[in-house]
Amino acid sequence: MNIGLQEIFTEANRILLETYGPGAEFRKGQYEAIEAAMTKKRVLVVQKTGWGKSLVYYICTKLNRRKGQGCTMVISPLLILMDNQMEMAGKMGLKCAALNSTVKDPAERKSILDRLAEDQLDMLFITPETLLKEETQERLPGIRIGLFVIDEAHCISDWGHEFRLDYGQIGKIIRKQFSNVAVLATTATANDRVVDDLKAQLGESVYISRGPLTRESLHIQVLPLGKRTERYAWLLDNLNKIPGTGIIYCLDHRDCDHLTEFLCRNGIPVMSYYSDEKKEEQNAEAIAAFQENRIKAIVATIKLGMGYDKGDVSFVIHFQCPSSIVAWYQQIGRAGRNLKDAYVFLMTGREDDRINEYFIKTAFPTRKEMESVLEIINKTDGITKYQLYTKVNMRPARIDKAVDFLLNEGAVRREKAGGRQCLFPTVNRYVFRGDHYDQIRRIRHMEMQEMKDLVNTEGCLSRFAVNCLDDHEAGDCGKCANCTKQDILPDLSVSEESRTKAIRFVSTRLYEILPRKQYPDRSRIPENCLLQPGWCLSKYGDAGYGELVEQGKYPPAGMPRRFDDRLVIRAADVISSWAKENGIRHITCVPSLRSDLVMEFTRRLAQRTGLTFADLLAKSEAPQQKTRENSTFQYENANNSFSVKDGPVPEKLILVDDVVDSKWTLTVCGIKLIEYGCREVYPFALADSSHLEE
Amino acid sequence: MSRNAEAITIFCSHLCMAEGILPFEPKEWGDLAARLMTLNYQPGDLLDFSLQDFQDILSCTEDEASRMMRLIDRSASLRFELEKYESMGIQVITRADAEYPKQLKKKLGNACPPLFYAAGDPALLNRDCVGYVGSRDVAPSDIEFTKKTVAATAGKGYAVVSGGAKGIDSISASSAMAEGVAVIEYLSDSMQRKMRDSGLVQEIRDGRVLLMSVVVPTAGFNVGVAMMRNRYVYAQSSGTVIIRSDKGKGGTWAGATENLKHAWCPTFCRDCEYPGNQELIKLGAIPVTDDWDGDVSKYHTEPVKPVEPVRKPEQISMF
Repeated sequence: MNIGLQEIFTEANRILLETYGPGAEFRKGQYEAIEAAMTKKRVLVVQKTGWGKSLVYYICTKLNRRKGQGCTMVISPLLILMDNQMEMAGKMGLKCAALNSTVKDPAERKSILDRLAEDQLDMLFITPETLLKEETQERLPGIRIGLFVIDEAHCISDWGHEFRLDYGQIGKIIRKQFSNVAVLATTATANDRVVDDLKAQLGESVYISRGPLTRESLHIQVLPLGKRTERYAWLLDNLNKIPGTGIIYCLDHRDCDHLTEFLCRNGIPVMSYYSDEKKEEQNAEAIAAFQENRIKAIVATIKLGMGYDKGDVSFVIHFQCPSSIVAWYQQIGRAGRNLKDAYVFLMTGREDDRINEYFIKTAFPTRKEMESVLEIINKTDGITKYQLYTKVNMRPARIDKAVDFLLNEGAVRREKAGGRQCLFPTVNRYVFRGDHYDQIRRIRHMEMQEMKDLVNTEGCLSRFAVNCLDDHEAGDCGKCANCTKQDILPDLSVSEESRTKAIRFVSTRLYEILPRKQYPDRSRIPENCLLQPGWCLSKYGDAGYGELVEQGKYPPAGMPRRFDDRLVIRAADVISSWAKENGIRHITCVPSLRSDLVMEFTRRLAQRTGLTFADLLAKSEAPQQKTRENSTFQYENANNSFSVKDGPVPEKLILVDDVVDSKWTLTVCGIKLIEYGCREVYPFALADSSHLEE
Repeated sequence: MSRNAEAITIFCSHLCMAEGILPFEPKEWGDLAARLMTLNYQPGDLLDFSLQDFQDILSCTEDEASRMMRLIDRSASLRFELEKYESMGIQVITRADAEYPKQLKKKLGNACPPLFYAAGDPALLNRDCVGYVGSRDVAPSDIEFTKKTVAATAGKGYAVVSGGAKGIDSISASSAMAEGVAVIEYLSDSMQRKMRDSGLVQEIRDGRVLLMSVVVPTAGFNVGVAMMRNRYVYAQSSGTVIIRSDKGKGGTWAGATENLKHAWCPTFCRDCEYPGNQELIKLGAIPVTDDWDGDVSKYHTEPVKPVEPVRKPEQISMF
C-alpha cells in the first residue's frame, strides 16, 4: 500500500543524479534515512554539520510530491533562507518559502499561506513561534502536510542545552502526532542523554542515523584571558590576522554592544546581532553586511547560531565561555562549512561563571512564581496579561515566564474574550515540576564543569568535545593548539598600546538614562514633567566603577559604607561639562531613611563641581523599592514615599541616586520637583542594576 | 491513541475543517466500519490506504476515494488543532477507546456517535447515574422538586446526568454538586465557552464534573444536536426523571417519547398538574412525587411496543 522500497531506492537515486550529475552518490546513512522517512517512520538524524541532513528531506519532499502527497514543513529556527538552500531547492525544482518573524508584511505572509493552501509550494521553512501563531494555525486545515522536519531537534528536549518552550510545544504535538504522519528530526549536537529523550518523544520505533561528529576543518585554541580589557586588546590586535570573516559570540547583548563599539572605534568593521524587538532592522542590516563579507565579524549572542548557514564563516570566537560543550560545539559548527580551514578561539573570562549561573538560575520559574500567577488566574473568568502585572508583585519578565510555562503545561489557556487576549484557568491539574527543573539545573551545572574541564585539558580539544557528545570513536585532530603545541595562527600577540586603549574605553564609558514616558497604566506622562536624558557611570558590579559602587554599598566587614573618592572624581568629570552646557547650578539627591550614603556622596560631588547642594526631597517610611518587582508596584511605592520639602526649588537641577533599576524613583522624584516649580531635572546615577536579559 | 482511534478521529472529527474536507457523519462511519469488518480490515488500516486502495479494496468511486484521501491528508494539521483543545483539557474519546461510554454502546449500538469531545475524568462514565430532563423555563416549584429528587437519588448513590442547558439541566447539576455527587453533562453546544467559568473549571479539575459533547467545542446551538443529545442522557442513566415537559412539542417531550419507545432506561415523570407530564404518565412513564425514595433500581423497563432495534445486533461493531 505504501510506496514500495524498490521504487524509493530507484527514485531517490535518480533525483540525486539529476541534482548533482553523474557519479553522485549518497553519503553513508543518507539513503537509509530517506527510506525510513518515506515509509512513514519517525526518523532521528544526528550527524555533524555539513553531512547533508537537508539533502535527506529535500529528496523525501521530491518523492512525496511526485506521489501527490502534501508539502514538507521544516520547523527551523532559521530566520533567512540561505543561498545554498535555495540553490539546492532550485536544482531539484522544489518551490519553497520561509515564514518567520522577519516576514513583516501581512500581505506577504498571507500570500505564502495561500500558496501553501493552493498546493503551490513544496516546502515551507517556519519557526516554531510562527507556526504556533493563530494566524498560521487558522490556515493549517487547508494545508496538506506530507512530512514534518524538525531542524535542530535538540531544542525539543528538556535535556538539550537550549530547550525552548515554543520548540517544546512543537515537541508535544510531534509526540502525539498521528502515526501516519512522517517525522524527520535532525540535529548536529546531541549527546546520549538528548538522543534517548528524543527517541522517547518520537516513539520507540524511531530510526536513528548517527555518525561521527569530528569536524576536520576546525583549528581550535583556548585563550584564558580573565579581564575583559585583555580580551578587547587581543581582538584589536589579532582579529585582522585571522583570514576571512567570522562570528564573535558574547553571552549577553551588553557585551555585544560594547565590543562592537570598541572595535568600530578602533577601525575594525563589525556589527552586532542579538534578540531585541527594537533591533530587528539593525539585525537584518548586520546579517546582510556579514553575508556579503562587508564586515570583519558579526558580534552576536547565541541568537545567531542555530541553523545559520553561511558556508565561508572562517572563524568563530567566543568572548566568553559558553554554558556547555554541546552549546559551544553547536556554535562553532557554523565555521568552516565550505572551507578547508577555519579557526575557533575560545576565550574565557572572570565573569563567565556569574553569567552562566544567572542563566541557569533564571531558566525556570520558581514554585512561588508559578503559584502566585496561577492563583490569580484560577480565581478569574479571564484576565489579561496587563491586569496580571497589576496584581502580582513580580517582574513582568518573570510573570511572562511563569505564564509561558503554565501555558505550556496546560494549566492555563489563552483565548480572545471581549476583543482581548485573556488567560483562563483550565481543567488540567497543575503540579509544579520542581524535581524535574532541579535535575535539569544539576545537569547544566555538570555541563558547565565539563566546559571548564575542556578549557583546562592538555589533550586534543576536538576529541575532548566530541567525546562529551558521546562520539567515542574520534581520534586526535592534530590541528588544535593542544595537538600542535603552538598557536593555531602565526604572530598572535597583544600590544601594550591596545591594552591601554581597552582600559580607557572601558573606564570612560557612560550609560544613558532615558526618561520614562508612560505611567504604569500606560497613560502618558505630560511632556513638561518628563526627566531630561541623564547619565549613569557603570553597570552595577561590573569591573571598574561598577565594582566600586558595589563595595561602597556593601563594604567588606569592618569598613564604613562610603562611595570611593574615585567615583566622586569620575562623576565630577562627567557632571561638570554637562552642567556647564545646560546652565545647571544645583544638585540634589534621592533621600533615604536607611543611610546617608547617597547624601554624603552628593555633598562631596557638589563640593568638587562647585554646584550648590539643595536638600529638596523627603522620604517617608516605605518598603525598599528593590522589593517592588514591577512598574505598578514600583510607581506606587515611590509615589507614596517621596515628597518635596517646603521652600524654593531651582529651575534646573541634577538629581543623583546611587543605583538605578526601574527608573521609577527618579521619575517620580522628577515629577514632584517639577510640580514644585523645577523646569528641568537631569538624572544621574552611579550604577545601573537593571537585569541582563529582561 | 490506538491506530483505530486515530482513524476514527481523522475520518470523523469536525475539527480542522477547510474546503473539500467532508468528515464522515455518524451513520456513514457506522456503515464504513461495518464494511471494513466484513472485509477483515480495521479502521486503522485505512491510514495506509492509497487512492487506488480505496477504489480496489472498498470499491469506492474516485470521488469517494478522494474524499477519504483528503481526510487522511489533514492528519498533521488536525493534530495541531486537537492539541489546542487538549491543552485546555478537552480530549477526544472515540468508539475505539476504552473510555467510551459503555452504556451508550450497549444501548444505542451503531447509532452512537463515533467520537465525543470530553472535559473531565471519563471514569465518571462508569458511575450509575440518574438522568434529569426538563424545560429551560422553570417555576419555583420545579426547582424545589428537582432539588428534593436529586437529593433522593444522590442518597441512593446515583450521580446525575443531564443536558447542560439552562433551567432543569443546570438546576439538577448544581443540586448534585450540593449533594456531593458527580455530574455528567451531555452538552449540545458551546463547550469551550462554558469552560470560561472558573468555578466550573474547578469542579471539572477536581473530578466532580464531566462535560461531553458530540459537536466541536466551539459549536453553537443546533436543534438537531440538542434533540440527539437527549438520547445520550437517557442511555447513560439507570433511569431518567422528567421534571417538566410541554405536551406534544419541544425537546423534552420528543426525548421522553423516544425513550418510552426504545426503553433505554426507565422513564420517571414528576406527577403534577402539567399537561405534558400527565400525558407522559399516560404513555407509560412512572409517576414520582416529592416523597419518592429515589431508588431507580426497582424498576425495569420494556419498550412500549416492539420496535426495530436501531441496528441489527450482528452489525454492531466495536467502532
